[in-house]
Formats: sequence, structure tokens, C-alpha cells
Amino acid sequence: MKKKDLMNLTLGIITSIGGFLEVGSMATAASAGALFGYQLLWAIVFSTLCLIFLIEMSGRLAAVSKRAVADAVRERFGFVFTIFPRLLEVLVNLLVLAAEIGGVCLALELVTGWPIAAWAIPVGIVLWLVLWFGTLSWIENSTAILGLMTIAFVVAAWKLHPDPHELLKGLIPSRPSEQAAKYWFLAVSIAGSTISPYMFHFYSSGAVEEEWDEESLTSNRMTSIIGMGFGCLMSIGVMIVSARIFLPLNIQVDSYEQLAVVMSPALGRWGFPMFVGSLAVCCFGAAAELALSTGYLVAQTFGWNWSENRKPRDDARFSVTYTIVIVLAMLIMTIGLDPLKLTLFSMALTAVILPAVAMPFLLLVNDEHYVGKHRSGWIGNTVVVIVVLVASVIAIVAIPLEIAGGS
Amino acid sequence: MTARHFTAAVLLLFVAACHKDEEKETRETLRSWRNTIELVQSQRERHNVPAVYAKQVGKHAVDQLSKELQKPHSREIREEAERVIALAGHLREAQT
Repeated sequence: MKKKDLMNLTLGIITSIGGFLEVGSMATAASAGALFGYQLLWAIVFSTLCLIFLIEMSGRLAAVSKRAVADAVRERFGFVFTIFPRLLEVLVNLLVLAAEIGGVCLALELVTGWPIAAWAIPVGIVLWLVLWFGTLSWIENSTAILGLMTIAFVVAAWKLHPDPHELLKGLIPSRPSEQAAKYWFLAVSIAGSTISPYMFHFYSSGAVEEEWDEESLTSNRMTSIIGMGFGCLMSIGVMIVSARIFLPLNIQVDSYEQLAVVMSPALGRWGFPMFVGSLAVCCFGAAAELALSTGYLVAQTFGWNWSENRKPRDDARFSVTYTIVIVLAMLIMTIGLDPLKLTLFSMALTAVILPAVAMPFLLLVNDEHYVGKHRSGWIGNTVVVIVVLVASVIAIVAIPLEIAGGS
Repeated sequence: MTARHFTAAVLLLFVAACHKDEEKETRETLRSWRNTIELVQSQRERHNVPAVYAKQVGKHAVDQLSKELQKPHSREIREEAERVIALAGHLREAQT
């Protein structure tokens, strides 16, 4: 491997690690840890396994066919077939983007005392400026490298000495003794926060922007496995810390304010700033990816020009799309919605729409016309089909139960 | 089994799954907030969290528990809620 390739691979892995944790994965893992200890560890691990396959597939599709996922789906299945799932995706992306902006605002609220609603517009404007004037690699690399501060969760988890036997038990799905509706709702929220469709749209569009080819397939595979694998460790770190600190005290995570103290017992004076910094940087990075991903999605569905590396005037409709999405998300946060509830519901909704998004894409990565001899193997296909369908079915059952306040 | 029976069975299951013990849930919420306040207070005493954060936790707890007090609850729960609100009030007044 050449020195430049090694550099790109390292940067790709760092991007994946730093970009893995965001408001959804933090909230779901922390809520699950506080209520069920390590019992939902399996949900993080299975979802990450599915994500690894999906990310690898989206990179492979882009490298071989030179098409991003949404672009290829529209070309293969036609506009009419594509428009409904894309509409759902845009709506869910909008809610998740609002939750991510809410995460940044919350971090600012925690250190200044000014309310979330007051921060929503300034944060939205900064986000828009970064997208308008930045390039894809600059945005990706800067937020991802800063996002590495989420390793603090793993350090805190290590310092809290979790019982390895209990951790291993958490890898096997089990029935909860009580609060079954909450348990399954959190399981699908974890799946939704991990297997976010925006991630593979963003990844494949980035691969097209960076002009990947068949020689990039090895680094694509390594980035997916190592990057997502380490990212999964961060989520596990959040769950462990929450389980070790909150579960013995019977603290339920009903608000982000409660969550912010979670690392302090393990990291002392560093705990609070590391939590706030991780929340702000990860949510900002995820918000940038989400806004861009929605722009990519809409532009590719309608066949418009799209590239974050061009000047906004050269792909005006793409730039206007992410601008509108940011404005709408900002407005959602200014009306004073509870950011934690918004996050958990938008993550569960993501799980509901997963089959509509993942299945057409799965057909493409098995189509010789698009990927030539690089078709997916049966293991990857099976894992993706099972995890996506199971998560979606559970979400359809669990969401109404959660809304009705089931226990 | 007819479609009507099946629908009725599903609805019954749904209603059963949605059943919740309000008293128990409120007790858990109160215990959760009490312990949160004590945890934040102890971290504040060690200077591990800033006063501005402790105040927000106190304010949030007061808001949440005041909403709980508006619901009809037993005397025992109301008294416990008032005690936790008083604790949260102290946190809200944390010195910078």
C-alpha cells in the first residue's frame, strides 16, 4: 500500500470513528444502560454489524459504478418507485437534523445556562456557513478528528471496571423482567441510531466526490470494518458508563441534563467538559452530514447537479435544498420540543423506514450491471435482510406501545 | 377464528400492554430525580461540575416535579414530591 493510500485509509478510519457517535447513539445507549444495564448490548453489536455491511456495500457500489446510492436506485427502478421512500427519508432526516442541532444547543445550554431555543438559530447559521463555504473533506476531517474526544467514554467505561461476564451476557438477546415495551422501543431506537440511512447516502456520495475506483475497494472494506467497529466501542462505552453510574442509583435518563453528569464520577473534573465537548462536536458533525446527505438525496432523486466541492452557484438546487432543510430543523428546535424525546422517536422512526431504503439498495449491490464481479456475498445479504426487517417490525409494534405509555 | 375475533384479541393485547401503574411510575420518577440531585450535588462539592449546570438540573427537576404535583396522587407521594422539589430548589440556588 502506498504512503498516500495509507494516509487516506487512516483518515477514513478516523472519520468513521469520529463520526459514529451522535446525539441518537448517545441518548439511546445511555437510556438503555440506565434502565437495563448491559442487557441491550446485543442491539448495538447487531446493528453495527449490519451497518458495516451496508457502508461497505455503498462504498463498493460507488467505487465500481461511479454512482451514489440514491442516484443508482433512481436509475435502476425509476423516479416513481423512488420518490415515496425518499420522501420518508427526507422527513426522518429533518427530525434527526433537528435533534442534532438540539444536541449542539444543549451542549451550549449546559455551559452557559441560555436555553436551547435561544441557541437554535445561531447554531443553524454557523452550520449553514460551514456547508456553504467549506469543502467535503474539510468538513469531514475536522469534525471527525475533534469527534475523537468521544474516546473519553471508553476511558471512563474502562475506569469503572465493568464485569466482563455481565458484558458477555449482554451480547445474547434476552427478555426483560419488566418494562418490555420500553426495552423493545430502546432496542429499535438503538438500531435506528446506528443504521442511519443518511450515513450510507453520505458515504457513497463522498466516494463519488472523491472519485473512488476499484482500487479503493480494499481501503473501503477496512474503513467500514475498523472505523465502524471502533465507533461501536464508543456506543458501548456510553452504555457501560450509564449502566455503572445510573443503574445502581435508579436514575432514569428522562432528560439530557441528567445525562451530563455521567462521566464525572469516573473522570473527575474532566468528565463534564468531555461530555459537553463530545456532545457538541459529534452533533455538529452529524448535523453537517445530515444536511449534506439530504441535499445529495434530493438532488440525486431529481437528477440535479450535486457536489459539496463545487461553488454553491454551480449546483444551486443542491445548495438551496440543504439550506431549506437547515432552516426547517432550526425552526423545529425553536418551538421548544423536548430534545431527548425527539431524538428517541426519530431514531425509532428511522428503524421503521429502513426496509424501504435498504432493500432496493441491496438489489443493486447484487446486480452485475452495477457492481460487475464485486457482488455481495450471502453472509452480508442475510445479515442486512434479517436485521433490517426485524428492526422495522419491532419498531412498528414498539412505537405505538411507547406512545401509549406501555410498561 | 374470525377476523372480528382476531381484531378483538389484538386490541385486548394492546390495551393490556399499555396498562401502566401510575403510582409506581411516579415513585420511580421521584426516586430518579432525588438520586440525580444528590449525584450532581456531590459532584458539585468536588468541583467536578460547574454551578451553572447544577442550577439547570435543579430548575429542570423543579419544573418536572411541579408538573407531577398537578396530577392526583396519594398524600405520601405528594409529600415525597415536595421534599424532592425542596432539594432541587437548593441545587437551583447553587453558588457560582
